[in-house]
Amino acid sequence: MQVFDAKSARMRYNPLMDDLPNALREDRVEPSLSREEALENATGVRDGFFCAPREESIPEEPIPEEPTP
Amino acid sequence: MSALEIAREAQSKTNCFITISDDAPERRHREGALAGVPYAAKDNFCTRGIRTTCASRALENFIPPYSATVIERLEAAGAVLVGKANLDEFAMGSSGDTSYFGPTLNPRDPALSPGGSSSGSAAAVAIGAVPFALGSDTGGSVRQPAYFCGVYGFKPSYGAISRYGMVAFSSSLDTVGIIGKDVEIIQTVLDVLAAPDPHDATCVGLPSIPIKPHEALRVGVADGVLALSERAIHAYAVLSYAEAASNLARYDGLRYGHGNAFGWEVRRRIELGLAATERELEEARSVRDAVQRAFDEAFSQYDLLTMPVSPGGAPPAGVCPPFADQYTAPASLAGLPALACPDGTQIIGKRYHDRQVLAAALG
Repeated sequence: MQVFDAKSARMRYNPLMDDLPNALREDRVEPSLSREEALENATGVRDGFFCAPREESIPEEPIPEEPTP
Repeated sequence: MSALEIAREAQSKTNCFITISDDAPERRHREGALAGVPYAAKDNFCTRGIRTTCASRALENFIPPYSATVIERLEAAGAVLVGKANLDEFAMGSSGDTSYFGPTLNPRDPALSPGGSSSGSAAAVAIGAVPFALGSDTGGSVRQPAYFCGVYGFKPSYGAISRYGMVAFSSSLDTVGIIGKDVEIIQTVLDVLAAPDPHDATCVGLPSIPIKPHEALRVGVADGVLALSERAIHAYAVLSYAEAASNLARYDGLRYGHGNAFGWEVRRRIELGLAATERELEEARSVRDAVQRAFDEAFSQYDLLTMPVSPGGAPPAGVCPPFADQYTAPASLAGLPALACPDGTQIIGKRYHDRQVLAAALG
């Protein structure tokens, strides 16, 4: 990256930081996904929880090669 | 021909869809601002019961249990989703080539790149399969493919349209974009979508701002912004890759079953994003502020600014030119509304003056 005079500039994190400095609101309970719906895409489910493979049993997947131009 | 048959034919010619919704006719509505209008959504918008892949092997079989706010609003307005459009994987790319489901072809000329990352959305509109399509624009991903395919692409002000249910790439830059065959349909869709959403704290909607008549508009070129455009593209890369590395950490292999299912471009951006130093990030945020101030300066003189969408026209298919986002990233960094026209002109407006930008394009 080219050198840029940062002395006169300030940090800009997002375009709304002047208009919307804070977006807090009151907590309120609303309907949500059921546990079954939340687990629909899990690769394994047991007793209402995600099932994840043990670390040593996760097979190594090949890293895709960068295409040659 | 039915909308579905038209979509299937467009798919056979351009590979613009990843999934076509076979039940679309059953969901046809007869009421609302977009009653019965078919549309396509880029496949990074969650659609309840319809798989949402982000053109990635990592989400090849992901069927969301909920729909994005924009999908629900369009459905409530009567629009009918006919398909999920092809894209660069996780919206990362400028050519449509990084999709796990194969590249999209440009309907105007298959030898040319359709642009990206909303390649399928632009191609579906350009070939006439749908009058409008949803895309996402982080650094130019709606404007650039719209121009390459010869249609209109609109990136609204940051915060105008809810992003709830749109798969995140770079949260300080991502916007929902609209690609349309003409400006009028984009106006209608924007009116349906631009409203605050309690599910997205960054969504503020669009305030009502009087639209100036055509003859009263001052239109100019932002020399200060153009002078910064090369720095802007570097700042854009640093910020967007770092935010992508954070956002994509959720695909950790446990919940979606793949550890290494990302393609090379997504891996490249995550790895570069993880390597960004605090000094680089601070410098990028400073450039972002300088771009913002250059726009403020230009808007003290003008109501609207024009610049090219892209440094050149559509390159040959399979080629992603460097600096493809050079003229689109500045408006993204500053969160401004920007319209790409089929002739390659980009019209940029003040924040929240989205309707002014569209009105000006109508002439």
